[in-house]
Order: sequence, then structure tokens, then C-alpha cells
Amino acid sequence: MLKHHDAGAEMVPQEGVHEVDNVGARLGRTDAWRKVTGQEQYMEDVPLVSQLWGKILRSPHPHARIRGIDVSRAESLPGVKAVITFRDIVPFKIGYSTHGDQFALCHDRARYVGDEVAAVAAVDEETAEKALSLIDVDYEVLPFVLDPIEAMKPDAIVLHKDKGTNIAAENHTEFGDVEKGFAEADHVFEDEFETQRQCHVCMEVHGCVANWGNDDSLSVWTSTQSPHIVKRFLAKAVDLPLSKVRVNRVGVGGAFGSRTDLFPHDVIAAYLSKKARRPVKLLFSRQEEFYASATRHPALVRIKTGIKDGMITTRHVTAILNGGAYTSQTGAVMGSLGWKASNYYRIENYRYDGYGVLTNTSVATAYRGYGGPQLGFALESQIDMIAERLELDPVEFRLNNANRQGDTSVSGSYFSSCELTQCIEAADRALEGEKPAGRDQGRGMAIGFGESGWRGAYYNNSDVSAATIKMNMDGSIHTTVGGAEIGTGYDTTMAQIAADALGVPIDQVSVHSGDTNDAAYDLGLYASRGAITSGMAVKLAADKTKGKLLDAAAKMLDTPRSELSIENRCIVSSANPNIAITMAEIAEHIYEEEGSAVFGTGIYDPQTHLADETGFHASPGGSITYPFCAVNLDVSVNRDTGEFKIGKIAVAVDCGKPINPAIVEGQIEGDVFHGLGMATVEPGLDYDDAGAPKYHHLVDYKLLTAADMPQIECIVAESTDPTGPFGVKGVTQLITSSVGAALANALNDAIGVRMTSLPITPEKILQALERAQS
Amino acid sequence: MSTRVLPEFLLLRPDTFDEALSLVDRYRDKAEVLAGGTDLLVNMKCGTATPSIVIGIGKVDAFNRIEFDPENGLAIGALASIRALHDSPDVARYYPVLRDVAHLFANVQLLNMGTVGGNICNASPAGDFIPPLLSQNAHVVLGSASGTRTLKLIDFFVGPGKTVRRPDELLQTITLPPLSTDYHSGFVRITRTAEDLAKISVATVFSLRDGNFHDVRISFGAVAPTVLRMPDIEAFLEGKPMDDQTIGEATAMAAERISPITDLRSTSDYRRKIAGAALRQSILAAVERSPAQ
Amino acid sequence: MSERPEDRNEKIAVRFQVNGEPTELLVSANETLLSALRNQLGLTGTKYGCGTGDCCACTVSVNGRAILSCLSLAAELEGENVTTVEGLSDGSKLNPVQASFAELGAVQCGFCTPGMIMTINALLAENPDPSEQEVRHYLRGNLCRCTGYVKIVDAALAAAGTMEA
Repeated sequence: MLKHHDAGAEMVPQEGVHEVDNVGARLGRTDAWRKVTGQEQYMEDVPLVSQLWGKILRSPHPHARIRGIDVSRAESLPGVKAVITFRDIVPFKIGYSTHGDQFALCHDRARYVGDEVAAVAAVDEETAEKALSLIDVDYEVLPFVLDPIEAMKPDAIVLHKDKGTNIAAENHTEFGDVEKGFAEADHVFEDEFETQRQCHVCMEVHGCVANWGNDDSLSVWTSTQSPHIVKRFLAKAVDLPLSKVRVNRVGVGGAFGSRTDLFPHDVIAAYLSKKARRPVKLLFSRQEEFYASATRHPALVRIKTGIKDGMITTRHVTAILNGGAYTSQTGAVMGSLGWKASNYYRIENYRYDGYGVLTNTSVATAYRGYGGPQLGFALESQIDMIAERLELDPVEFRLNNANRQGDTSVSGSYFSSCELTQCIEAADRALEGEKPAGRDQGRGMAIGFGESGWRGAYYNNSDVSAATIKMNMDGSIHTTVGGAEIGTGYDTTMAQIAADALGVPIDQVSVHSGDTNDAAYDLGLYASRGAITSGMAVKLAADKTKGKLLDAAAKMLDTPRSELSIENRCIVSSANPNIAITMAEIAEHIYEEEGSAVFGTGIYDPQTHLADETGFHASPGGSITYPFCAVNLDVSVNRDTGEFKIGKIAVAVDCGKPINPAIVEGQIEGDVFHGLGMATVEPGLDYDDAGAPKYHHLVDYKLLTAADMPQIECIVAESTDPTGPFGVKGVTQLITSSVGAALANALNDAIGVRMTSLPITPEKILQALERAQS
Repeated sequence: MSTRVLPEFLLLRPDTFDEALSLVDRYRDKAEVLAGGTDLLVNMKCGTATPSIVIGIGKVDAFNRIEFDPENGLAIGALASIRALHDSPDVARYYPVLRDVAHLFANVQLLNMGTVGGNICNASPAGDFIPPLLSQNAHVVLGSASGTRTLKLIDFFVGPGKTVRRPDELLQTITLPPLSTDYHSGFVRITRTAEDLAKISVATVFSLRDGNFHDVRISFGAVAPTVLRMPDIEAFLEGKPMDDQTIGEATAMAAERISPITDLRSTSDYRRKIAGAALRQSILAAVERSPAQ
Repeated sequence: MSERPEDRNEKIAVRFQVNGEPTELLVSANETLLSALRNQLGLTGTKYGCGTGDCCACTVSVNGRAILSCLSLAAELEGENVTTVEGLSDGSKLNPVQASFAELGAVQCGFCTPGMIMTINALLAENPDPSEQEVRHYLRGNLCRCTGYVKIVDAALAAAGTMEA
């Protein structure tokens, strides 16, 4: 029934057939109208009667023992309705899945500047702010450690006594024989790279709106990528059955990995509401957003590469990630970095030594690329460094070593589709004719690799998504999905898939996501999984719904079911051209005559493998399919000031079939933006000698503006992947991983200096030029 | 402190200049003057300004004007918005370097709200308008209940955020002498992004007589506790030919004459390294622009 | 005019136009326009992004000019004419900038969108036929973390075309 199109660009409308009109089409988004008129409700916009404002008192010290907290002065301030400390909450440890080590409110110890110590709910924001200043905390200031290398030393200050070490996670895995590989290599190169603590800087700050009902049920509006994950762990944190906890749909003002888990502020808002018996709206200030929401992991990455006969045979990657004060996703990001390194090129031997280290700094978590940007900067910079040392053309060198369709990587990932070589060639070609000729101009490329879904992200044996389609009597459909519209066009993508899978016009499809009471358990949106896992669940739900319609039609029309199919919103018979009834007619028949209902639920869990104790996966790997990309850019440098200007960035992506080209381009362009920010102006959340973060405002921590962004050319190197719905693959994060190295390679091409740390600032360029001269 | 809320204060809104003067005289250190609000309200949200009284002078019409005449030059009322300066044909024609700054200033919204007077009274070493005003030999007129006094703008600043304005005084007007139309002027600001405070800024004004520099005025922003004029470099350039060698020698003098700090935008070392390049860029920008017709 | 410090909690009456409607509010001295719009008038399309004038998510129009509602005192707006994103369309037909945002994929998470749209409307009122560079320069204060600005700039240019026609 379903007609798969090979190329989105050449959609040939077939007479009378509408099933595939939507997939591949550049449709407007289903949420656009709400968002352009200001009607979308984000957390702060949720209207609740008699709501209070919540605020969190945070530790001013990077490390301190809390000897006592006196809240009496705050409690007696008029307008204050609740003040809570750790004594008011269940001692549940928040973290990534069950690997928690963070109480929502500190017990006896604060571990970073920003750690949650107490919280208040008051009639308005001003009163809540004032109340915070009336909470007296008796701190005993302790020595602290900010640098992961220091924190790894045996005599380091230990943040979590029960762990006995600051190394929260380690990975030491080998495939093939690395020692032999290096011994047999013609050349071995070893280089080291460093990346900063990039902040997500969502335009909407973090927070949570909680309403603890008098019937002891909890309803929250928290902007999250994973409503079901929040519900699951929030229920534990507030000690309620899952049936009493609801995460509601709410607009999500940017996520980028920063909203994948349950966070302390969710739990705090819930307890404030419980204590005050009124709804509580708790939202960060922009300052808190910088120092008390999570960040990307700063990383040191060392890569040792063995080359034989011009081919990369052997790699040894060592990575040290600064995880901040609590473990969160540090183990998984560290593992992902090592895993990604094993998949970039065809290699025979691979060793990974990864360390996730805790320090007295902000918690690091998932951030677009998930270890990829740290790795990609190192690995793809080194590719150019090796090519230069061996006098090879870097593009040719990449092509010769690139993965291809049907390959299985050294660690077991099976590439059911792979157009990496097409990407490299297309990105190379895109800048042809613009070859920078002048002095101090250069060009640089880097490739990228990513996942599409991830089995076992929450240490469970699952990568599940769920969807339900319900057809109404008029033939229109409700599609309920378990993820959330976080800005990525999820709802629209699901609508397009549902419309085509059922042959229903898109304007008769509504999509509901983000509400745990609507949808079955779904892990949510991370690891570029939405389009593929939710998309498959929607397709399965549509298939079931269709089955129901065809069964009923067969009975109603007294026609063998095998002869029936859906075309052009009608059920038709292949045997008898006179038989055709509309979907609305059959739906109404089912409701009104059969006393039944038209719906189907699709649960999709891809046939992938859970990582074993090494953190790696047996074939086909942790994802069902893998996207690839190549980024190519031109740069010109001002040697007097070190300033540089990027002329144009060409991005070629193998993301399978684009369901909606405009949405895919939007993801590519956003991916470039995060990558280029990390590569250039975003300083990362540095700390001063006292352990306090240096950045609190957007005037200091800069983002690139519309006037700074170069032209971006998006090229979709379409592949046909047999695994996803309509051949789709993930596209939301792999390009971020490539931009830093492409820039560093272009700068080296322009002025002959090699930048090995991000961000690349004009000052670093001047310093490098000076070193090169002396 | 949180940028979500403003602390409480008493808001006083005088209707006339005299009323405003009597209020500043009465409350002095307890009060802050609110013009565009784009600096004061940020400082109050961040806790770096804690006035119990705010005197909002938005209704005082006498302050809100930009006037030009060829005899006396330009008078910018303390409340004139940067937008008004940006849109003024007189400014574009006779003081194009001020138009340059207005065009680059922060963002459009702050340009619409902010005032030139506020930018000056805020006395940030990185204040965008200060270098070009210094290079235009601007004066400020300060008013108080006991009368007015006029100062050279360069004598107005004492340090970062500090001026000689007494707590009982209000900035009334900024005046710029007429500039002969054969003068060149250029402004350069080096920043991290298109919307940023300066790592370093330079405003250069001069005329060329038979290809030689004359009456050179160079001002550097963000390189010292206050915006600096560069008398040594100005004297060096006087009468010398406008060529690569002269410019090269002049720019080489810059790094020695500044005392930059390290902040979140730049290190002091980098500021020193690029001071010469910034000066060169501003001279070249000035040369490139034809003098006003 | 009250001058006693103990009167600082006294509310100030402000009469102004909001989206064409004559509006009278009692505001505190420290109440920003952003807060008055959101909390008193329920116009929640205008967003808090940073509170310091560095993201422009709170942009509204006052007398046709784009300004930041987070750095404006409501009490200072007596007699002014304020337009928010809610005032751009009657609910059945979008304003040209809104329409091209929806059509061209300029919206992702949507949080910066109202501020962007208000800013672009101000731009097109000043300059009906801007170049791409002029659009980018005008938008330099409006931060977006999702789009890389590509489709936002496209939408602004497309809307300029529509408005001309």
C-alpha cells in the first residue's frame, strides 16, 4: 500500500493517489500559527488560579558543609507560603536513570556554586526573592577542585564520600589488536585537543510549574524532551504512584539535550506546591540559567592514529570529561564519545580509555552531539594534520578511509545505508568556483557521524516509542505520540507520516504530544530518535488502524479483505472498480453500526543491541541506522587582529529520506549555529579562582547573531535506508560535531597555524601566529 | 538578585527642568536619574545600583532635542535618544562619525531607548559614543539649582562609572563645535559579535592639507579607566604625509600609551596587541570617507 | 506628585493604548512593561528571555518603534501606544511577517518568535525593501538558539515582498 519515494525532490503526483503527498513535502508546521501569534503556552504562560512563585536558594560556595539551615525569618515574611529544605523531601537521588547521586535539595553538603539548598514559594516573585535573603544557612566552607586532572589524583578532595573517588565513570575497551596495529603502521601520530564548557542557552529558561492537588495527585508543566522519563522519576522523588503523576504538554523553548532528565527544580516545585497547597511556578532567572542549569562536558581528547599504506588502521582515543558536581549523564556521554570514535572511519583496531570526572562545577549533561563535538573537533582536526604531514590531499584521504553502505564498524555498528562519500564529494563541490585565492584565505572540511535512536540510554533494554491513532467518524484522525514538540518539528513530522500512512489529508490530522496521560510510555526525544522511533510507532499505529478499517469494510461490502486497499481517502477494491467507500463512511459505520471504535496503537522498539559492560554494542549497534555528514567552509583571516570571517559553509548530510525538507534544513542550520558558536564566540562557563562561574549574562556569554552568521548551503545526500519509516534517519545533532574541526582546518589552510582548543578566538590566532614566527 | 524582577523604589517624575533640579538637589546620593533606563534598570536588577529613589526625567521636554547651526555646532539634549541622533540629517552630514556609532550601537531596541546623555553619564570606558565625542572636542553642560557649568568632555570622566557630575547636578546638554567640512572622521570598534561592547574602539578626526595630517584627534575606548585622547600620536602625525610609513609609525605608538585591563571580552594583552591595528583601521576608514560636502 | 519614601508601594495609574485598546492600569513603580503586559493584561506572547536587554525576546512596539519591555517601566508609558504580538493579527488573518514565518519554516521552538516578528515589523515600517544585510544588521539583538537565523532572514525578506505588493 505504501508507496516509497526514492527522491523527495522529484515527487510525481499520481492521478488520484494522495497517500504520499505529505512525506517529502515542504509543509508549514502544525505549531506555527500558535507560535507566530504568541499563543503557544510555555511554562511561564501556564495560567493557574492562585499560583505562587517559587525560587531556589543556591549555594554561593563551590564546596561547603551545611551545618544548619534556619528558615524561620523567611517563613514569617508576609506573603511567603512555603519554605522547604531537605527535611521536607523524600531522600530520592536524582540522576541519569537509577544512577542518581543528587538530592533535589542538598542534605549536608553543597558541591558547586548554584547547588540547591532551600526553596520558597510566595505570592509573587519579589516576595519570593526577598524571602531567599532571609534564609540563614550555616556553611562550613570546604576545599574544592575545579580541574578534572586534579580531581583524578589520589589525594584530591573527594566530592562524594560514598564513591571514594571523583572518577564517576571509566571505559577501557579494545577491539582488534591496537598494540600490533601501531607496531605494523608506517606512521603513528598522537595529538591532544581541548574543548570548553558550552552552555545550552535555551531562549526559555528552565523551570517547572507544579500543582499538587488536594487529592494527592501531582500535575506538572515542565519543558522537557522526555515527559515519560520525568514522570517516572518524579513519581519516585515525591513518593506517589505513577497513576497520580501527570506531565502535561507545554511549549518547550529550546532544549538541545538540556531537558532530557528529571531535574532538582522539578522536584522542588512539586514539594513547594505540596507544602503550600497551591500551584507553584518556579522559573530560573537568566543568571541561574547560566550557572545552575546543565552544560556540555568540557573535554580533553588525545588521539593516537596508525597509518599503513595511506589507510587508517588503528586508533587509540583517550578522553577526560569534566562532569561537574553530580554524575548525571557523564558516563553515557563519555561512552558515546568513545563509541563514536570507533565509527568515524574504516579501522581495524581501536582502543578507548575514557574518564568521566566529578568536580565542584555545574553539572554537565547531554548537549547536541553527545560527546560528538568534543570528539569531532579532535578527530577531524587530526585527519588534516596527518594529511598535511604525509602530504596527502585531505579530501582524498577522507574518501579513501570513509565508511560505505554495508560496512560494519570495528565496534559492531552496521551501516544499513551510508552516503558519506557522496557527502564529502558534494560538500567539496559546493565550494568549487569559490576557491579562496587571496592571501590568508583557506578552506577546511570535516565529516560527522551520529546516531538515530539509542538502545539503553536510560540503562534499560529499550529504545521504545509509542503512538496511538484514533480515527473520528468524519475520517479525520487524532495522533497521540509519546515524545514532545521541542522545536524540532516533531508534531509536524508525525502528522506527515500519519497522513501518508493512512491516506488522510494533512489538514485532517491532529497531533498530540508531550502529555503522559495521553500517550503510552515513550522514552522521548534525544539521540536524534524522534523521527525514526516515533515515526515508526505512528506508522505501525496507522497500519493497525488501517487494518481495522479494511476488516470492517470487507464485512460491510462482503468483499475479500485481500482485494481492498485505501486510495484517495477511499477504500477501493482491486477486483471491482465500482466498489469505493470513503474513509468517513466506513468510520461512521464502525462507530454507529458496529458499536466499536477506530484506533490503533503502535509500539516500536528497534532491533538493536544493548551495550555490554564495555559500553559498546554488538552489531547492528545501539542505533538502528546512522546518519553521516560533511562540512566544508571558507575562511579569511586578518593577521593584524586575528579576526576571521567565514565566507560560506556547505553542509552535506546523509539523513535518509527528509520527511519535510524545510524542517531538515532548519535542523542543519541550527546544528551549524551551535557548532559555530562553540567553535568561535561562546567562551564556555569558566570559573574564577574562588570556584565561582564567570558568566551570568548574555552580555558576557555571547551567542552569534544574525549579523554574524555566514551563508549556509544545505545539501541532502539522500540515501534509502531500509530501517526507518519512509527511510528516515536522524539529523538533529551530527553537524555540530563537525564545524569546529572544519574551521580549524580552514584556518590552518589560510595561515598555517593549527588551533587545538575551542573556542578559536582572534587572540588565540594572534598567539599562534607569534609562536609560528619565533 | 534576579533579572526577572526590579527591586522596589520610589519613582519621582518631574515635569520641568527646574523641578528635576530641585529633586536631585533634595535627594542627592539616595537617588538615581532615569533617562532611557537601559543601563540603570539593568544595574538595579543586578544589584550594582541600589537607589531608594529614581528620578525619571522622561517628561522633561527641554532635554529632548538635537539642534544644529553652522555657527555654534551641534547641541544634543541629555535626553535625546540615540535613535534621534541616528536619524538626524545634520548629524549624518556634519558629524558622520556619530552616525557610524549610532548605526553600530548595541541593538535596534536599545538604540530606540537609550540616550547619548545616558551613554556618557554611565562613563563606561567602553561607552561607544565617548571616543567620537572626545575626538569632536565635545563639551558638556551641567545644570544645578545654583546654575550651570560647562566642561570639556574629557574633563568629565574620572574613572569607570565615575564622573565629576555632583549629586545635585544633571547633565543638560552635550555640545560639539562646528567641524569644517574638509575634515575626515572614522570609527572602528572591535567586538566578539555584531552586538557587543567594544574590546577596543578608536575614533579619529583630522583634516588633510596638501596630503599632510592636520588637527588630528584620536580617542581610544576600552583601553584604560576612562576613554583616552592620544596627544602624543596626534602631535606626531601633525604635518606628516598621509602615507603607509607615517601611519605605521603612529600605530606603533599606540600599545605603549594604553593601560587596558582583562575582562570577559578580552585580555589586556590582546587589547595591547590590536591597538595599533584598530588605529590604522580608523584612520583608513576616515580617509576613505569623503569629507562632508 | 508624592515624594515620601513610605509611599513607594503606592500604585501609579497609567492610561495608554495596548493593541489599539484604551487601557488603564495601576502599576507599581518597579513594574516593568513586560510584567504589566503578562501579569496584568494576560498578554503572554511577550517573553522574558534575559531581563538585561541582551536577547530581545521581550520586544514590543511603542509608537511604532521596537523597544524592550523588560527594561521599560510601565509607569513611564502614560499616553503611549503599545503593540504586542497579539495585536498584529485579528486571529483569522496573519500579518505578513507572521505569515511568512509560518510558511517558510522560520519557527522552531518559537520562544524568540514574537520578539523577532515585532522587530521585523518595525524594520519593514522603517525600510520596506531591506537588503539581506540590512535585515541581519537590524536583527543583531534578537537571539535565536534554534534556526541559525537562516529562515528568519528569509521570512523577513519574503514579508517585505508581500508588504510591497
